[in-house]
Amino acid sequence: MLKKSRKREIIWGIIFVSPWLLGLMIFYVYPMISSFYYSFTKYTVISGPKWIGTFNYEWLISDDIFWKAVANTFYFMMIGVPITQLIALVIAYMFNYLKEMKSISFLKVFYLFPILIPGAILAIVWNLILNSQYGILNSFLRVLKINAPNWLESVQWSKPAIVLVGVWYIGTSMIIYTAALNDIPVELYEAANLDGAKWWTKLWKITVPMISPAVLFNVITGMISIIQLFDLPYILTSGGPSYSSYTWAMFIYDNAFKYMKMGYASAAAWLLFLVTLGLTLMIFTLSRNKIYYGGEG
Amino acid sequence: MRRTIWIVFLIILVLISGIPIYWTFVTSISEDKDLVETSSRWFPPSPTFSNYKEIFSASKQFYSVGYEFKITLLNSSLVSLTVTVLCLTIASLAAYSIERLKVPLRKAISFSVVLTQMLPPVILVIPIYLLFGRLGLLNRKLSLIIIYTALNLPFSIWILSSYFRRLPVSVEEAAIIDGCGYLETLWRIVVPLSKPAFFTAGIFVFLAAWNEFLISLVLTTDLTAKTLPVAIAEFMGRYYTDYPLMCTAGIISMTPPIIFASIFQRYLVEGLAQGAVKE
Repeated sequence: MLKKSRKREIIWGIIFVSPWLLGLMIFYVYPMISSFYYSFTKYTVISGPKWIGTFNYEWLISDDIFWKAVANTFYFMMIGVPITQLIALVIAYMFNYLKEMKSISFLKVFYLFPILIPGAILAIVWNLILNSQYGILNSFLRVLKINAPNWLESVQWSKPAIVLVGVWYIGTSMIIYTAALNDIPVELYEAANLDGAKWWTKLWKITVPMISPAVLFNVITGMISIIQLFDLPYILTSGGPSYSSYTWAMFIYDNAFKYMKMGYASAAAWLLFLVTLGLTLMIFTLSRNKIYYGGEG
Repeated sequence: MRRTIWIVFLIILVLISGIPIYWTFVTSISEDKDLVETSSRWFPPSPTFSNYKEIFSASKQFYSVGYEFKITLLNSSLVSLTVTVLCLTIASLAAYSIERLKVPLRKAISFSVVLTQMLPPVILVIPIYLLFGRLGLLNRKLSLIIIYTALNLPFSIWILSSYFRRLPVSVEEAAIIDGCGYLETLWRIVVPLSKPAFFTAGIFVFLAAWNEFLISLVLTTDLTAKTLPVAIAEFMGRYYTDYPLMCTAGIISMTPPIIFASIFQRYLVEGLAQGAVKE
């Protein structure tokens, strides 16, 4: 028999948490289950879902455009993430080196701006900057006598252009790196100094191992966000030219909302979910092995 | 010496990272015909704020793109602010229930909070669209508000409950013994003590709602509910692109996030350092 006060606590507890449980059911559990079901159906909105077994998945495997979208997405993950992380790390290192100077660390907020403003707007500005005729990037390159590419209009350059724009989103990673660098005990460096260690020895033997958990965390979360990449290519290039910058998320969007192939799009979405799940499990395993990434977490 | 080089280097990098925003601004005060000259001089030959006036003074009688931006700006503001308030309210109730009222299955409930943060919106959007379509709720501000609230709850609950956990319980217990209800205890004691967590969660929720693109693109079709980012992006695809006007709308859409970020920089950095921002 529960005590009266505990009973009251439970009742209120359930009342307080029920809006979240309702949201969980309607916006997470229901969508995941129904999209799994839709992925085995032919569903054109007008006709309603019709069971077709694994046909959608088989069709995806033989769909060249799907593979192109997946390959591009992996390109952005494999090329874009390392470049972005390296730059974020170098900048965080500099901020950490100058951390006693309050006026300098204020500058950090500028690196945050790109992640704070609507991605769609940033994409439009980049469209202007990368414009092959009167964009500033190319007029700058022409001054340097570098042969300026047609960034957004060429099959060869559309992906690098998007990677370049992605570099502007270093803010989050940079903040996590500065926190990680800040948490390295000074004693380690002092001890190394006593032993007469050179700076690269300290970098390699102290800094790198101490921040490696933060690097892993950033790389994986970076991959999870890149795998869903949508607004940038959608606005910059609409995936073109000839699907050269088309992404997995755009493939899902187009099939669902342009061609109204809900079942087919759901199958592609579920495959994307499985890859995300794999990456997420990696984070969980890493953090269980006492990974430390600054602050609470 | 090495220090000075690094400082100079950092400042140069800050300037480079500011180029896109500067460029939006410069374009917004250029005249359309001067764009080529603006890009060679990095500043417009005859700066003008007429585009800003056009957006803010646009009226319904003369249908214009400026009017479209104005209405979608109002939609965005209304949606984002409502979502922020709603989300913090529901999240604080849930976090309080999990941390203090020891609701049954609280381990599972807090696990659901962590897990749902990982689900990509691009998967959820198809069933949500179909569901709202069946219910006749497409193209409504209310629908956007409900969806954004639901999608931002996990992060908010997570931030608030990890803060509540660290608060001492003695004051709350005293209040309960004195006959304070749970709602009153939460509102009068826990919320005032947790201001930093509310600021952190609030900023992120507001930004997420203000910047959201995909769901708004899918769920809204006209001025009744369309948000500013979608309006700007659609404007881009039309046969003639008025870049200065578009960049003006862009600058307007950047202003609230940048102001909030500068005022609440501390909370923002704290939230980011917890490694929990969804881009």
